[in-house]
Amino acid sequence: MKSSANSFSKGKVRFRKYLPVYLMILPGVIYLFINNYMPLPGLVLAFKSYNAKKGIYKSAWVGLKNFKYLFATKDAFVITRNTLLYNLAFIIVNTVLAIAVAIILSELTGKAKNFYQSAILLPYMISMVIVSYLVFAFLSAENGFFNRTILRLMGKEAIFWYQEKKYWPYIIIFVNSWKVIGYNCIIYLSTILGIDRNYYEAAAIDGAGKMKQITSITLPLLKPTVVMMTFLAIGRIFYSDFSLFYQVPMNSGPLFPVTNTIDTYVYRGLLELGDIALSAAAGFYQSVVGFVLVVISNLLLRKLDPENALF
Amino acid sequence: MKKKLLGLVLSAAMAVSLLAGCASSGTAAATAETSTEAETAAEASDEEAAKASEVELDAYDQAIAERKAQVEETGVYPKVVFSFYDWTGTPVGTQRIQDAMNEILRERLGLEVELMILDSAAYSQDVRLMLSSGEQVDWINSCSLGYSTVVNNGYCYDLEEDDLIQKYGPGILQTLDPSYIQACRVNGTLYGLPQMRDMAMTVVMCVAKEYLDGIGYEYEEDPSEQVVKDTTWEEIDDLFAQLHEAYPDKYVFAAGKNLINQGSIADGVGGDYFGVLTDPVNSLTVENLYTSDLFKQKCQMVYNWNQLGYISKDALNDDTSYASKFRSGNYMSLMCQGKPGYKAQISAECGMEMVVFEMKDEWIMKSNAVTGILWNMNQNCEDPVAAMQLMNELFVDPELSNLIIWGQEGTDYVFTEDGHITFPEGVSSENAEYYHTMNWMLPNQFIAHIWEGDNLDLWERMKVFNSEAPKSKALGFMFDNSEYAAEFTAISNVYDELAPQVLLGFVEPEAGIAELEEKMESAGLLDYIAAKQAALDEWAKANGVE
Repeated sequence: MKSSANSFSKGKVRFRKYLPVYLMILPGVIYLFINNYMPLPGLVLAFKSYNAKKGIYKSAWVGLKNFKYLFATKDAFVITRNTLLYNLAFIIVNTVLAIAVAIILSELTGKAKNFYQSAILLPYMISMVIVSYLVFAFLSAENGFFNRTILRLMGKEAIFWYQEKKYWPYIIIFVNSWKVIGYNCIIYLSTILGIDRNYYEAAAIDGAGKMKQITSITLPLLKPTVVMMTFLAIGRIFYSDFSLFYQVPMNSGPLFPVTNTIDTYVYRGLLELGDIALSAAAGFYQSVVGFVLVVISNLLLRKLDPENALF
Repeated sequence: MKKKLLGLVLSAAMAVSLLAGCASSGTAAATAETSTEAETAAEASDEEAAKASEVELDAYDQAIAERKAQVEETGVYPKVVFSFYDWTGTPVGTQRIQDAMNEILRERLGLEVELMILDSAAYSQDVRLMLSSGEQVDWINSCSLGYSTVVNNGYCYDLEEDDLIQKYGPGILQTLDPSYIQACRVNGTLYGLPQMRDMAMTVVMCVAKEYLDGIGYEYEEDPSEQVVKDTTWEEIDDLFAQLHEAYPDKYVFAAGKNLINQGSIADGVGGDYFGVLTDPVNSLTVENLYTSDLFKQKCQMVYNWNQLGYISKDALNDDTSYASKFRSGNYMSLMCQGKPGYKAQISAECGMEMVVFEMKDEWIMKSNAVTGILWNMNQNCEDPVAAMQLMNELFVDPELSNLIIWGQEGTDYVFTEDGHITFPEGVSSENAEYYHTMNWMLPNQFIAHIWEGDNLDLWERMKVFNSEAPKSKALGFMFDNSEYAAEFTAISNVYDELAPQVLLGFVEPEAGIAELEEKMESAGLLDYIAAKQAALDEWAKANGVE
């Protein structure tokens, strides 16, 4: 009896002590609740034939019919493949490049560092619509930098870039990396700057060179951050950056086999259909698969490397 | 201790400030709710009062009298939200126009209007949100959402429920041609109203006058119609060759993806061109556009132009409007669908005088001409009677129609000596406060003034243009494709992938069309066409069309 009263008052004291902290997370929790949890019942729309007169809950139940159009065609394979492979490529390329840039930046000092960091971050701030026109300035069939200057100087024939699909996987990956690396490297850079300098001094005394220091100290200590970032990316592997795939290829038809992803496919279809239930079905499918992928990869990781598992 | 207290206060302040944003809109919604409750209560008591006093008024005036009595009690005028779009977002002068309209409407109908003019780019999304969230919007235009979409999703109020339009919109019924209203009925139910505008179309080629004069081209412009009549495609070929020779640095033709829908008489029955009537005046057979001679012929024509260098090599990726293309000074001609008064419209859009060449034998009223731009009442509309009466006044009252279309005299427009209207001194399309040029969308432009540049008998011509046009046999047919969503999505994607390069002449037509056709068919085009044909046959039977 006494002990329980004691623990109760202990809990009360602890609650009091952390009250300001709880209060501080409150706005975030409210935001999360409103934005991420309150719409959850709306998922039921994916299984209904929506009619505004009847409302969401009274609309007729149609089961899995709304999902049919995602799988009914041959396109289903192409768009799923594109979405997955591009995201995989992004995860690998962006992580490697972002870490490389972060390490280089961490070795720099003074004004040069600030300049480089801002310059690398700049593309991240630019809207994709503007990016698409920057790309167009290079690739325009008539007046583009490539066709007009480079290829002409090399004495080669002009290329209709927006009709030749073989170049686009590289262009898309390049544009994506150019755009997001500056942002990703900030996270790695802050981790690197947080590493205790004593490690490096000790290593230097023992005669380790810069390369050795990077491979033996920086990279191992970056591992948890890399794992976390990769997981976050895997959770979204079924989503594609819509504007990257829609704006940058300028919605060019001949490029669809290599630029159509689930998001752009659904958008193009629904733009003309305007059916709410079908878009809900697409969103439902993407989030379920994303969820499953995160759980599975975490399971694998817990087997392989329990320390770094997320949950 | 002090530090702790400070922390507590700060974090509390943060939480409160975050909530403040939600709270203010929350209370607004709450007050709105209570006020509508009050209104309905007042309405009920009024109805009794009206019944008791045995004044014999017809339904229209009675509704107004009741509303006014209710206003006297509450002091608040009921509001009807009237929403449409323009190209540049809400005009600066909207509030002023709204106030001016309300001055008339309070007296005439005992209600107020709220004009909600949104940017065209965001219109369909915004409207969809308002329709599903319960925010008040009473009249919307389904031009960008599509009539079948709003009907199939259940967004629209039945305009004939309890004889709503018969009782409260007599002016509308008198103004609109009954066949147009019939064309808007879906399975017998009227969900939308068209406006007074061009229902038929012609295929026109518009060429900037500057370049025509430059090459000394001879043409005969009909002074009253303001078009060059009966032009043949051979003449256009010849004209293009001359233009190209004289101005090799400019693009002869601003090619768009409108080759079939605006450039031919093929009728995309049921709202899309996957399955068309190639001879809509005589036949109800739904055909595959992509195997038709018409398609081959049109694509071959553009392919030749492309080969001859008339078309920009970047045309495939260029979605900029004609207005910006022509203002850049690099283009000389375009193809579009014409109507009486088109010369003034396209010249204003392009910022230069254009000569309109009307193509021979390409004049048609397509099946979806009427239902393309309809006014729909929200199924959640609180007071359908008030909404309908507002619409009625917009159809019959020139003063209101002029206000909503052109704004206020003196500020937004002035009269010229011959009875046209134009901008006042110092006002231009750049700085005008209310110049949205959406007259073709608003209910009745035929009773409004005529802007300088058009002939004063424009509306007479428009009536003839509509009534004498060869009409598609499927006029008024609608196709509910929701059962074929999978096929439609797949076909649309094939279309987006392969059609533009064929339509713009970037691939050799023979091979390009074959590939397009093959992929379309494997995406389910033939099933889709068969379904459309079945629906059309059923419709024809029900409506007595042979």
